[in-house]
Amino acid sequence: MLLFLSMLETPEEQSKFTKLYETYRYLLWYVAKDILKDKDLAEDAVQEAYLTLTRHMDQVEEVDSPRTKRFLVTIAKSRAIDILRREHRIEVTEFEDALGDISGGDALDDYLAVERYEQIVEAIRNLEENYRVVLECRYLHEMSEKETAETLGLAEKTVNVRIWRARKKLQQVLSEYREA
Amino acid sequence: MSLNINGKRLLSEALADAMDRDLADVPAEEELEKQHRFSKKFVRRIKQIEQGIGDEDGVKAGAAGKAEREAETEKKDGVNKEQRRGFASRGKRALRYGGMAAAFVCVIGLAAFLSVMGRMGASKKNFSGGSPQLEDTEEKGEQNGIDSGDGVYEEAVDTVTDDEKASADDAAEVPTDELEEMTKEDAPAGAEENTDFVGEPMAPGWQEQLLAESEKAAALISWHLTAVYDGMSFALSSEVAGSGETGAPPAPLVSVSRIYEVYCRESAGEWVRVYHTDRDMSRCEPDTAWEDEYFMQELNMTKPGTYRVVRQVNSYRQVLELTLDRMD
Repeated sequence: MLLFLSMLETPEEQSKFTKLYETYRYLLWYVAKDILKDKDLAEDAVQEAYLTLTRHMDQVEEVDSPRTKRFLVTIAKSRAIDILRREHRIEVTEFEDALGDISGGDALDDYLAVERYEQIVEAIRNLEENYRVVLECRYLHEMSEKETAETLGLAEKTVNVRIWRARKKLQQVLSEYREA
Repeated sequence: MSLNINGKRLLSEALADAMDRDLADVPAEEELEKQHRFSKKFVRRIKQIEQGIGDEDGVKAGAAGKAEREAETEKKDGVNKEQRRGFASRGKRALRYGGMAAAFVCVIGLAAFLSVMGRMGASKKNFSGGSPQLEDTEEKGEQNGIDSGDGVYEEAVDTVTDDEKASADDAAEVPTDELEEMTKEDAPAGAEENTDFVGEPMAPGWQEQLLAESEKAAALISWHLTAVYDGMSFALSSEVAGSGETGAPPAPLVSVSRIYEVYCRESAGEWVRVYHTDRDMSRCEPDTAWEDEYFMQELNMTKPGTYRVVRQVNSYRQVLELTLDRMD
């Protein structure tokens, strides 16, 4: 644990961390519980989320800002998904051999350009969390692939695949909306 | 596979909106507090982060620091990590195989320092927080559902004279701001005498000093036995003193460990340490109360007798005396 602690070095960071803990612990627990369906595992996810946060304090600005809130929620969701995977409750297949497909273009831009905004939001809400989390890291929090990999505890290569799959999935959902 | 600028912006906004809409359904924090109370283990670990991250004196991080701390511990206690693990695993093995035989076990709980205070009760008006159980410890035991029908009753311990207490107080006084440094290996003043280990008798006067420190700890947090489960484990409740009356100075911060030492009274009356582990401190909010459960076998409380269990409260040690009547 001290390895994590050593990454927060100043009293300012400590103070900020304390405020973040006091402000968001229950929210994060609720978000994690929604994924894990287990109070105790959700608690573990929150703990891991705060540990992960110690490595990303530089990305946190105002404690009470919506941006910070979303950032923490993304981290909590990613930790919950990770625990879910460890508990073997879901099988996450990475399809590493599908990397070749990534070079091919996708039509998400086209969909985003023509679909109604409300439909896009709803399509995102209907995405599975493991897809949403990676999109949130990459596009909402504007993380690089490396930062996304660090946040999610994945290899960069895996992140690349997941982003691709998430975009494909979103594209698929939007396509279904269009047909409906 | 990158989105164009507009696509990125749109996706970013949509992701934010989607999350905000999800979070709009989250109950208020007050409601969530009713749904879930974070475990002590969770709070302790979060507090460890809080305590460690701003330590200007430098937290010894990483494997090197850990190895260094381990070496210090080994030097101080004369026991290495493997040996400590041995005690823990021995306790667990004993629990596994000895649990079934642990019938008709009766435990008498008594906060020794409280009993001392009980003797002093009337003259210490500022000790109201813990005084009820001091003035009539037998009654307190019954209130806790640990009556003689369960083979449990309480008795006072009168082991500390005023002179002994006074000298021990001087030795035990450690500034509270040193608390954080004491969470692992350090001990209050006098600890340097404590170089013996499990199975060996303690230095003369050591227990008396322990009780004197316990008295100070009592002003910060109460501690008493609340339940015995199947003769195998027991629960101890703790309650942190509040800030008191309006306008009173704020209550001092309290950090507390779980039981880290257990002493057993031998037939000759001397106390022998039978259990020892690291102190893992966690900070407590004022006016909070909780229960900790302990397995007797894990604490090496494997035979009938009188035991003193010890925990750390800020810079003081707090003592509770428990007696196992019999173990079939």
